[in-house]
Amino acid sequence: MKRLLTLSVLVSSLGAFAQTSILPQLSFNRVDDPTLDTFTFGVSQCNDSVTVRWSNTLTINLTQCGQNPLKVWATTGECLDTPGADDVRYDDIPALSVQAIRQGTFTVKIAELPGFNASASDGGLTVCGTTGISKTQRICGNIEYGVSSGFGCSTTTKLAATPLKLVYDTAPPVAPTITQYGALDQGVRIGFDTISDAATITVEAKGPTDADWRQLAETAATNTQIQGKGLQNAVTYEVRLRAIDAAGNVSEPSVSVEVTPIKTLGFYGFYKQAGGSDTGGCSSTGLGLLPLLVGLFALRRARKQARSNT
Amino acid sequence: MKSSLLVALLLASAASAQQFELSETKKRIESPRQMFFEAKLSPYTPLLDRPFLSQPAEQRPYYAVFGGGPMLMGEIELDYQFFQKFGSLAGGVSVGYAEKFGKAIDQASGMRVDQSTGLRIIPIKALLVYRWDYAKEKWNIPLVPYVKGAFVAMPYFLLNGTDVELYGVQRGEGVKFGLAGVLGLALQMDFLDPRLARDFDSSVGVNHTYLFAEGTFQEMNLFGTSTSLDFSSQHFMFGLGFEF
Repeated sequence: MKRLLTLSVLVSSLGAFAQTSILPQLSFNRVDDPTLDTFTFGVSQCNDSVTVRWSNTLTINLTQCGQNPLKVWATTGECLDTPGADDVRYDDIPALSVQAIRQGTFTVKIAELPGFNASASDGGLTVCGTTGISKTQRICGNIEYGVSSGFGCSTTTKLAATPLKLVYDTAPPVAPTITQYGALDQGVRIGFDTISDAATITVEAKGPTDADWRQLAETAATNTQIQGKGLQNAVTYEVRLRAIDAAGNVSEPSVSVEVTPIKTLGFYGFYKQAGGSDTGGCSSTGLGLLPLLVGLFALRRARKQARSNT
Repeated sequence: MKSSLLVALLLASAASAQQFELSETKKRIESPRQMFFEAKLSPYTPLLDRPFLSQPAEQRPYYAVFGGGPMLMGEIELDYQFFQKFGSLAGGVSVGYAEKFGKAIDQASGMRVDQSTGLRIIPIKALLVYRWDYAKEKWNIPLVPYVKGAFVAMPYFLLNGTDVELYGVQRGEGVKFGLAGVLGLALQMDFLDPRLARDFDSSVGVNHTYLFAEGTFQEMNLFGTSTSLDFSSQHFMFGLGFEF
């Protein structure tokens, strides 16, 4: 057992080591999901704000030699050591907070990002609301700190935070490609190629008497197939797919295919057709409960007897 | 099975000698034991085709849809020992789970189609268990034969695609009741490392660890009609047990 315990401790420490080695130590993330470092938005969110979560898991002491704050800014390019002239600055986060509190939030207004400022020179020529484009901006951070060697403080080091990417995306993903399809009982199954830009795939169907297409189901774009339900067996439907990206942009429809749902027999159907009589529910063997009832009755009698004896 | 028994007996005699020696030199002080926990696995083939044995194999539902092979069933059991003199008598409960999936069949053509159909069962048992551990306690023979009697309630779900299958208005789900008898043999593994076993007891409170095999005879259609869904079976289970 001790060996097992030792082994489990070793394994968990290895896991913890691996985890700490891949986790960003000073980082900006989404407040709704700290594991994500990208926020994708579209036209409808131009007037919204994004709450950014900063966190510090560094083991070094950032305030040992001086107390330079964590500088925070937004840029349209890559994050450098210091903000550029056209980048948008946000309030510094005091070094003491970064060191002691370890995490916090600040708010970024989407409309004020440098990429939407037409006067900015670093690529900021797009007005939020423009369609058909995809533009990435970053929330950057950098802090300077020194390390004490015992004889004084060494030269300061600049430490960059892992940025949060803000992706303005109004370009729809490409239309999905249907790779295979098949009829199900009152439904259809469609296989599709993965689309890197898509977050969701939807399936739509149109029957001979339908005036318009209707959506049957949606699935994550990381899957490779989707099932749609709610169709009538023996009726031929046109079926097609659409892709939707994280910002809500909808692709053109895929090429449609014709599918006729079929009546299928699962195990229960096959069993019934073979002559099975079971109708489901708490069926059969009412007498199967007999031993339980006898047991309960005996227990009750024994208790009664015990009570009367006392 | 015979060779397994032989190996178990050999191990038992070796262990007995070793434990006897140990018990002579150092009397073991055990913590009280009241509970028994088991985790076990089983290849479980329900006799769903029993009512259809007169038909060709390909027309029997379980064979036609699932190929007739066993399901893998996992089960956990917890017993409370209320008698510990000549062996131990315990009451317990167990819960298991098994599933099997196959391809549905086109009603018109009879061909298999690209739609799954499945069977899920959750056997729940109320048990009475007698373990003859007298020889283990008295003579350090680490073999514990046991018998169990159980009342079984078994919810089942028959799926077509992802949903419970409908046949007309009848839903493919319900609960079956039945009885089960179990005969088993447990090998107490403490002899492999008696000191470790003592540590396990003193630190965690687990008195003994067992490896066991048991045969189950389960009758789930005692008084049903001849064509009821029949989840009866005869199967072996293997697992680990902890007495604490």
